[in-house]
Amino acid sequence: MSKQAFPSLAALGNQLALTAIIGVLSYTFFEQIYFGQMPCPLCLMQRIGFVIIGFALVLNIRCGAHSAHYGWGIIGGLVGVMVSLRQVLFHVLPGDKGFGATFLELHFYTWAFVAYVGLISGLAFLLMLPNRDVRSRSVIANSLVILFILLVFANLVSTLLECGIGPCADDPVKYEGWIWLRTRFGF
Amino acid sequence: MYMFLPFLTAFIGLILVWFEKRLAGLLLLAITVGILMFWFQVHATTHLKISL
Repeated sequence: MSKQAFPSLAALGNQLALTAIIGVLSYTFFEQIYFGQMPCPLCLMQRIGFVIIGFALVLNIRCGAHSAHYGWGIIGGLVGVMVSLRQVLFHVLPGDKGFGATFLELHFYTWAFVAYVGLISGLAFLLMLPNRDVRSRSVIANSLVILFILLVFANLVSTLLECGIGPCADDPVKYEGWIWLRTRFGF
Repeated sequence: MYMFLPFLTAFIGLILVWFEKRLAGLLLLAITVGILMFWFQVHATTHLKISL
């Protein structure tokens, strides 16, 4: 069997973790576009936390595994934990209904906290594995990386349309950047 | 606050990593993390008015 047919455990772990991040970012986009659930500033920060972990995994997949990549991924995850835990504490008082919709009876920021803890643990386990053959040019690995880059670009455009180049509203209800563009250029 | 900025730095960094510019990619990843940390610090201290 060729090496390409059976990637190493570390390569598989990196690609699975990137798949999980693509799933999270895609689902938040689905909620935003289909249900009109616009992301708050803290929600955008949590998305960036996932993007940072995904970035570290893409570095591993494109350039080979390196402890520095895992390190940056863990730091990004820790910042994400701080942001999501901050939002959990913000709405933790009895009687507070929380911000936004729920998924399986938990709010998205609570799921974000769970996901960050899972991903940081995953990165810790991946650090223990031998860094063999993590660098991959398989169709699956390339597709995952391209999909992730497209999602980051979509988030960039969506944030620009939502907030413009100024600060985002605490509880956004309209795409202020998009409205600015329409009034500025009259379309 | 330029809230799109970390997405922009991450996007540029990912394009560089696609072309295997590892060090440039790492630098942009560090900048992205730095912006996120600074952003959260500003948001938490001035905007959310939390006391720790």
